[in-house]
Amino acid sequence: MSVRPSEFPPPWSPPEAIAAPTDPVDERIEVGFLIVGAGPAGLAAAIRLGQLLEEHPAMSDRLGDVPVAVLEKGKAPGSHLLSGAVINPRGLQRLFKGRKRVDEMPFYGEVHGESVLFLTKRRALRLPTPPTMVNHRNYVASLSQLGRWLGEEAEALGVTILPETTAGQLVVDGGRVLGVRTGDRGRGRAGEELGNFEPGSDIVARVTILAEGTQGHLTGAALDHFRLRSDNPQVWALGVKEVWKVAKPLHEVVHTMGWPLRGGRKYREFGGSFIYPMGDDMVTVGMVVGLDYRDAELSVHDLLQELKTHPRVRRILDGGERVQWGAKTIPEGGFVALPKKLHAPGLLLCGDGVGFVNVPALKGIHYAIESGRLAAEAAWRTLERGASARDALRSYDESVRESFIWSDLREVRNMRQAFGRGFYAGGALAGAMTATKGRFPPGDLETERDAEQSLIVTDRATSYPAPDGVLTFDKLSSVFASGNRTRDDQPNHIRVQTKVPREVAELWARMCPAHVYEVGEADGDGTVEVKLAPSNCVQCGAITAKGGRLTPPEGGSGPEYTLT
Amino acid sequence: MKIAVCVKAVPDAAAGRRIDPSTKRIDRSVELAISDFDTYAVEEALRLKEAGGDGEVVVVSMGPEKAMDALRKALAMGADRAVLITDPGLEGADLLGTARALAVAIERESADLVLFGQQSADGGGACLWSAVAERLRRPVISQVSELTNDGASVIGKRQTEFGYDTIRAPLPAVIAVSDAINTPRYPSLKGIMGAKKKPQDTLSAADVGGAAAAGTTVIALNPPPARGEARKIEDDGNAAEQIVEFLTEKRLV
Repeated sequence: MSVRPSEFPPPWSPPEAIAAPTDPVDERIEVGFLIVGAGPAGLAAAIRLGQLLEEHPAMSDRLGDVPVAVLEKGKAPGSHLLSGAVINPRGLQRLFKGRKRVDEMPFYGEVHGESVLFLTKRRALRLPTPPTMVNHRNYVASLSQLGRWLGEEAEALGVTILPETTAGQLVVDGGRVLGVRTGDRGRGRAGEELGNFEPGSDIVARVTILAEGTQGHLTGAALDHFRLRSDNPQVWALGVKEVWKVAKPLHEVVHTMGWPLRGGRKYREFGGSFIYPMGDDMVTVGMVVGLDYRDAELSVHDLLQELKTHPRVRRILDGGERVQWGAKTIPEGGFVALPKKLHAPGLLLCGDGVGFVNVPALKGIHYAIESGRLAAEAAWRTLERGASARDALRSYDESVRESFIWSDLREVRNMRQAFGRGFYAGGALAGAMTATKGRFPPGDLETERDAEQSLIVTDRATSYPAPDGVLTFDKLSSVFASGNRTRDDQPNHIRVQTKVPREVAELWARMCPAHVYEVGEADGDGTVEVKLAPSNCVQCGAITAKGGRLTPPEGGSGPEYTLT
Repeated sequence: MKIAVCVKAVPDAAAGRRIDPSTKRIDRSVELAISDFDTYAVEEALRLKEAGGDGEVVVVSMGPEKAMDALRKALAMGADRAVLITDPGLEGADLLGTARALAVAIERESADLVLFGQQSADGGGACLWSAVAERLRRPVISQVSELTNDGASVIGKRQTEFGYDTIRAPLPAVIAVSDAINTPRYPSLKGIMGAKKKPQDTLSAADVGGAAAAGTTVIALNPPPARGEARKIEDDGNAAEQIVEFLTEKRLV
């Protein structure tokens, strides 16, 4: 009998993240515009608002002491940012038009060479680069570093960044979003108030922009509350990556397909790896796998370790040293999974949170930046004389539809779904889609929810390499390399059922790159206990895709990425 | 009562601690954060101020210009002002140089009480407080895990290897608190928002009596040796026996 993780839904419901105001009116913190998430989308919105404020100083009176505030759950902007990343500079160029040149941005350099390899266990076959993947005129960057830089740019424009602060609930009153309630700090394991307990606060704003990134906590709740979800479900991939100091420079960006993933249709293993140079002395290597996979023994972290043992990859890392590790999910549903609307009263949604990712191009950062910029302009329009807030926010949807975000994503709208049919059929379909610029097939292919894939169990795990601490690493030392310093006597922030069939427990234990889940004792009725170590969590979000729900732990918890 | 809290901006734990071989100093070009040990001193100062009903808490530090960003955390917690001594001429100052500069800055403030954390999170010297007290010619109590104040004197309960000493010192005094003294508060959102607007002054070397020639030379500075082979004992019911066996084997018991 095969089970699906979706049969064991988390003890959590979206209304838990929606609340009426808690604090009396005079105790609420009032800001002009409130942005949740200091990533590329949120900081682009903040920077654009800062620019507009600079251009129209008279408006600042109407926005109060804090015209623009950004909440960030990580220690600092960038602490929770992780991506490849090869960045299309288009979004940044439009954001900083006439203010900053590309050579002033924190990039490691332009992409001058690239190869796409099909791997078998020992060999590497060079493939022609698919047109969607050409990276000419794109730049290699660490998204974490880019985030730090964007944060500094935003602060220079008068934006207030509030780090170590989670947005726990969306504050809704009379059908309109007023702002957010921040998470409490200083609670003990059972939720009790510790000596340094600091309760959350209601922060209210003229417009709230959610830019929470993948698996956004409030974004998910808002999509349900305001009935904005697409008829097609969102799906995700999990990426795990490492940053290495290397002995010799790598001169090209490398993408691989094939091994260590299996091509058979029954496995549904869609993904590949990336290897990018970061200047002359660093390289980043990562593995990305769609979370619609079925094998309970699959572990993206261990697949990455296996990948590094390939002669072609090992050669790049030889004599080097791993300096950082991290993991994050990527929304892959594409165009057909986008919400029906990107706004609600008092609210705008942007970036990865709504799924602006072009899967065949492996790009999303420039869409996040562009959507943040457009959200800022729509939010600003609420200040215009005679403008109705409703029309102003609605204009965001219109401008996104007229932007390159929309045309780019529409062109590739069925590609990710095609790979549900296995690697070869998917590849052929994707080719036809590229050739017709998305006109073929005329309809939309169906998306199947990640958690609804029935599980299989193979002996995949027996072939993962044993960690040697030099080239290959176990999960716990990797969590350490993410800089994770989560206080471990705080309430558990991961909602999962803890009595499930062995396959489901095994799936979570293997899937989680941070060793949060362990398969416990069998209960005699065919189920096992799931044991949790929530303080290992790097908040990648995979659990939300595969049957559980990640909620934000205390602000300041989680990884402290600096190079990812 | 006016309380000065001496704090240090140290390389953030996430940024990692690296020794710059050319200067034989810890690399401070990375992101800086206020040393964890110092947040206990800031907390204690805030509690004393709150208990007294009025007064002022001033954080005093010496470091690179960007250390001011780290000091802002103390302001967000509730400190009233920050004073940063920053000058290229003071870079790499040794214990005595640092103590002299801090003492001058503290004297300018005419603080009734000077608080320190037990040690810095990077250098871990645990002696700056005594050097500053010596410079100021004031009594000092270290390792204080309980502090009371009657306006004319302070009573510190200090932990020792053999128990507790309870020591009274007349004000003005210098106190180094241990990390057992309290649980530092989280900065509130209003505190974080207000921190930027609080007074933040910088002092140059000239303001604190000029740059002093170092009286000490660093011969070498090395990272701690890597930990050797570790043996992990899983508790299968007789872990205690195994540990005793291991210690006996190593002639440690």
